[in-house]
Amino acid sequence: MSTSRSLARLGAVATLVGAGVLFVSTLLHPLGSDPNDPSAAFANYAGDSLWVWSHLGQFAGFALLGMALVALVGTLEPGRAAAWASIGLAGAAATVAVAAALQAVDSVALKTMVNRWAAATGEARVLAFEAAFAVRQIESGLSSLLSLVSGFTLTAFGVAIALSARYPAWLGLTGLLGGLGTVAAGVAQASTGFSAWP
Amino acid sequence: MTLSMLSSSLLLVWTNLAGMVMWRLAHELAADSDAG
Repeated sequence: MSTSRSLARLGAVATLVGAGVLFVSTLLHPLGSDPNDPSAAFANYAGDSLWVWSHLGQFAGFALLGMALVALVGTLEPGRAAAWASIGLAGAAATVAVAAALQAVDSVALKTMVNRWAAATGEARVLAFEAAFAVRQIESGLSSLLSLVSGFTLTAFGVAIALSARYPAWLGLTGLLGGLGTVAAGVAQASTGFSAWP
Repeated sequence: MTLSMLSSSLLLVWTNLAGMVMWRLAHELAADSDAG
């Protein structure tokens, strides 16, 4: 079996499993509160017993998608497509690293702080809220940067796929547009926090 | 729905399409290698 064929099969399986894991994990994430309303969101998060598992699941999904992108590089023919994919390869590694940092803050640090806030009373409750809110801002910043890094990565892979004769042009062009859209979402989040869609 | 959720949902659709195309490519490469 050729290396390209093995990588194509590995990438396909990692993509489909990764997308499935990410989707199911995100379904387990509590969505009943406005993320820009910290009191409501913190109460919702503190009551969620699956919080750590759903977030570690999201990270596993991201890692599998990163693995799929690494495999994708090896399926492209030499030349301009492979050149753009090389740029994307660095982005894929950076995306998984930023996703790990985000989940360290979101799944572990924020959960600890909102639990502490929910259990506190009196003046300690006010202080715990401010501490949890500070962790929330770090999470928001990392989430924004994850959108930016993953968006630029997807843009590079979109160009690589569009230039490749082995893949349909529509897949590259839609990936390119999706990457630029993700960059725009990252910029919006950097400016406004967890922006609600109107 | 937040902007990041919307973009994530669209990306999930795209990654599924990409996975299916890669799976088809694996079969095409196998067929090429068998023919060669």
